[in-house]
Amino acid sequence: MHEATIARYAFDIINETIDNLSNLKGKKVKKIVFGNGKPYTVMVESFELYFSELVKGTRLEGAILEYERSEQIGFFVSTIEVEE
Amino acid sequence: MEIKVLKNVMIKNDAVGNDNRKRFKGHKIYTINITSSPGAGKTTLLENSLKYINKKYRTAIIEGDLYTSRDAERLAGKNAALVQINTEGGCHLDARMISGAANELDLNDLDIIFIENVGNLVCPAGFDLGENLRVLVYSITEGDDKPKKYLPMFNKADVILINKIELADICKINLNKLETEIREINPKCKIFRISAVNPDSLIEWDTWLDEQIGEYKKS
Ligand SMILES: Nc1nc2c(ncn2[C@@H]2O[C@H](COP(=O)(O)OP(=O)(O)O)[C@@H](O)[C@H]2O)c(=O)[nH]1
Ligand SMILES: [Mg+2]
Repeated sequence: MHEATIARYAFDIINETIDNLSNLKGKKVKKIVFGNGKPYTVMVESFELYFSELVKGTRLEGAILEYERSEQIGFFVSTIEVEE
Repeated sequence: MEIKVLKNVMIKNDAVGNDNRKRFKGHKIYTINITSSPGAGKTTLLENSLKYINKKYRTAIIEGDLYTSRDAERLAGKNAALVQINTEGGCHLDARMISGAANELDLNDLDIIFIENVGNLVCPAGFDLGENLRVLVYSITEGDDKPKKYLPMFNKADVILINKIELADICKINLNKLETEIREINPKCKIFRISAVNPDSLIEWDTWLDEQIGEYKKS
């Protein structure tokens, strides 16, 4: 169940990153890549359950979610792709 | 347009954890995060250690539990302020929950906060609460092969209390083997062998904790 907390943290980091870039105001997010590392591997199904609730009605809704293995410890927001 | 972020989501928790630590430090409050799997003996430890610790220090307990307040009820009337956190299914406490719970305490009137984490031998490892000391209560009834299986909990602990040692023979546990495995994972942690049901077995731990609190208050 720690995926609920992790989804919330990821959601906040993504929004803060976009808010800090003034040229991205009002743009929709197309894709988000997460890094899933060891040993606290996040269960992707569970993470998406919580994440999809959080993004409803926001600029993140409908974004493609991708995951890459990370050798570092933790769960990362790696890259965000925003519409041009 | 692609934006590189490369941020560990746990920075969110760690930032609040560090704020908690500073806030408690401002009041010279020493905080202890007690972790373990369910039933290893966290509440029993608190019940019996409070008898010693409460003679010297003003104490509060933050009780983490999925749904009930059963542990808080056990600890009521022990001369410690109590705050209950129900995680409603959540498998660990996080730094924000502690920050919220601290708002319900009179921090000017406290020396120590014990935090009883949710019983779980995996998830609490990743979540700094802003504590000064992380304790793992490990019950030998769970076997002597668990340290490497549940590595993060064992290597993130400052203190490991090996509990229920009076049952070692019945459970066919080799305590030296268990300690050796813990040492391989976490060479720096302090280890005590206890029977939390028996207050006499806690004297060494209680005295050591008392010293840590004393040093912290001087610093
Ligand atoms: N035999 C024995 N039982 C213990 C000991 N410490 C705790 N227990 C028992 O283990 C059970 C769970 O203890 P509790 O303190 O509620 O564990 P918690 O879930 O970690 O808070 C209770 O029935 C306790 O009486 C011990 O040192 N020896
Ligand atoms: Mg308990």
